[in-house]
Amino acid sequence: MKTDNVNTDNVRTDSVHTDNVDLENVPADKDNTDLIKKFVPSIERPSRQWYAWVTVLSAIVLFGIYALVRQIIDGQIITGMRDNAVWGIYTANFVFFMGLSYAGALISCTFQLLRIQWGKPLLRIAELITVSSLIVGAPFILFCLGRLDRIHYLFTFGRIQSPITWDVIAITTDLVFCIAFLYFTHIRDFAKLRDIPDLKVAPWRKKMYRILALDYKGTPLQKKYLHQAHDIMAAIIIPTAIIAYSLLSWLFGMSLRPGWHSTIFGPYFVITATYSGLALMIVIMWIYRKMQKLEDQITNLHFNYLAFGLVLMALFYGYFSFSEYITEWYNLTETSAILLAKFFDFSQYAWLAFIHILLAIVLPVIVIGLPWFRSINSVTIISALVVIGLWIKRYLIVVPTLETPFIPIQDIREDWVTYSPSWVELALTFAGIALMILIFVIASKIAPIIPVAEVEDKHDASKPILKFKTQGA
Amino acid sequence: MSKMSFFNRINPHLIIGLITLLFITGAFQQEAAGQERSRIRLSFVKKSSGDKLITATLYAGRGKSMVYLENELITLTASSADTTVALAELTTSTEGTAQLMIENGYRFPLDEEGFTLIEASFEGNDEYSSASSDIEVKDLEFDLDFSIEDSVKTVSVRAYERDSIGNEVPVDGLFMYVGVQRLYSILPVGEIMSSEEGVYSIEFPDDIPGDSTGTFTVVARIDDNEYYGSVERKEDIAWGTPVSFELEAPQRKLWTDEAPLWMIASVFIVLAGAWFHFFLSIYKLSRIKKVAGDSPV
Repeated sequence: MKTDNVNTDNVRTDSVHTDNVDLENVPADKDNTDLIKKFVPSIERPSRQWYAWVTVLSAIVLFGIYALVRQIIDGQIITGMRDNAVWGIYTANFVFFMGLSYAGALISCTFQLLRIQWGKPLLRIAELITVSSLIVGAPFILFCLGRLDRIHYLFTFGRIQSPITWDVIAITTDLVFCIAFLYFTHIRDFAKLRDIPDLKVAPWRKKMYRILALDYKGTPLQKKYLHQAHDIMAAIIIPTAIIAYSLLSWLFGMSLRPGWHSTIFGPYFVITATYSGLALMIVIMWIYRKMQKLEDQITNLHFNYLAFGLVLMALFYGYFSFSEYITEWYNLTETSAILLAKFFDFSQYAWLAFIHILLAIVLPVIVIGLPWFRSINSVTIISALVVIGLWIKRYLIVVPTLETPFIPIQDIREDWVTYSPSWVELALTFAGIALMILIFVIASKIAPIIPVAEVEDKHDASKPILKFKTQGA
Repeated sequence: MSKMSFFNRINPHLIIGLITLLFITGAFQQEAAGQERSRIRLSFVKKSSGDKLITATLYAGRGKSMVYLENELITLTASSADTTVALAELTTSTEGTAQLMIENGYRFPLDEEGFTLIEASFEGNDEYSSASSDIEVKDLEFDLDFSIEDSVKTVSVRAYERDSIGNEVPVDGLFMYVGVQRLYSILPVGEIMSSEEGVYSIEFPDDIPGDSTGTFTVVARIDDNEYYGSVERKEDIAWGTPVSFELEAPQRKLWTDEAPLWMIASVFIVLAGAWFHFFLSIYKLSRIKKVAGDSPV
């Protein structure tokens, strides 16, 4: 017979250490005991608003699927991609979403490995960013292919020497690992939901919770195994994500094109990804805090820390961007000169370039860096603008370079020389965004958006990251 | 009585008066000049082919630095005692130079001693004063001869001019350089100051790298001679050490049909390591269910 005691995780025989972790803003045990109950109503009975969101988002996704079907039937001619600009916003989206996934993985795994207590409430949001953006982002590169029916050739005829093959392997691996990690962090919460006797959900969901909880009861041995599994996955996901995203940058960096052929592209992509993921995380934190009234769990402290991280990233990003362009500009080749001139020409890409600099570098530094403008709302707005700015950056990486080949474009229709996205590409882009939101909307109905068991478990702070044979000073 | 320093004894009014005077005279001087003084540097080089290169460089001193005058018109003339020939009107480049190459065979007006006066002139403008420069040159010819005696390689340069009826007249007393033409400059082999009947000889080293057949270009040259200007003569000779400059172009290793071994190994190790840890964590997870009943809650 099951007991009513929901909080079975906190049973430990050793003493509790808090180390130097600032637990000031983590809710007290008494409150935490009831934390799962706070989420039960929304898990049991989705609101009308929730259904409305699901309907709207599903409609957008379905329209995107329709656009994709049209593209498959009619071919690439109904997109803006042509012989010269063979990539467009699909690739920009691919790079953008992959970056978000990398950032989410880095944040959640770092929190896990370094036992960062204040970050626990954010773990699930970070993991959901990772998985949802991987699910959404990865197909975008496939949309660039002219013959989707030959996609299996990548596996049957793939060459290990090709960065495309590396990327396919890395992204697939990353996706599997991240889904596994997301599941690992859900196990204890599934157990909690399973152990609520009067949880009013469909029987299949109860069964699902029971199966997915793996008979977890919070015994010390179970906790040990779960933590070990967690740590192993976290440790392996960080390098996997870095490799995956670096490989993505090498798709550009290893081609001899102006604006792409750069050794700095690997770290530049990684920094950009972390930056965009951090910004998106702040936005999502703000939304959930408002919608689910999570002020006790997602506190001002979280915004404070992440805003600090954001401004730091803005400075790093500015530095990398400057390094990238000053190197290109200093030893200017003819084609590079043409490319760089486009970023200063207001009839071409100057508007986008300057808006990107404003949104991704200038505004975050001013608004977050200076105390007069700094507030949770302003940080959130700036974060949203950073996300937009960094999407523009991805577009500026992909398209202008393709429009500036080494061999001059001749004897071709004028409207084929430059790229502009068609309705199909825009529909699929919005479908991707909608799908990502939809994943969040649905995921938060399956389990709490806050990893309740993790937040309640304060003993976790005492676990060493590395074990030493000798216990010395 | 206290001693007054030198500066205390100077009347301040005198100093102010002197400074004012300096300014006024300076201003008058500038106004009087109106233009900056320009100068022309002229050079004459007789190439190995017999072509003559005349270079005029127009410049002006500005403070301690020099300014080369761009886009200015330079007139070149050649004259003897009774004949003046306009050679060309040239516009100076960004480096202030105007160059004229005169093909071999062109007959300059000559005076009785065989000299020609080459003159370059600049008319001046609102900013810069007029300027002119001239050099008097005589035609000089070199012949190169290569010989090996007892494994000693010798280069002999015969220098001569022609008299009015075309006879060769040996020229002694020149300061001759001999070297080997490299990509950007001449590798000096030696200088020759003594000659016999116009023949200048120098022992030639045998360890200078040549091309794949050991061939290089030997250069004999005099520079800025007061009678002949600069004259050079070049000839190829296979006296060098053969060096093959054909570098094997590195192939793109990833364009091959099969990936290099290190890459296959790296990919395998990375993937094996990653997936091993994945399955290890899955194993740990599987233990959760197995130990569910083992220990008390």
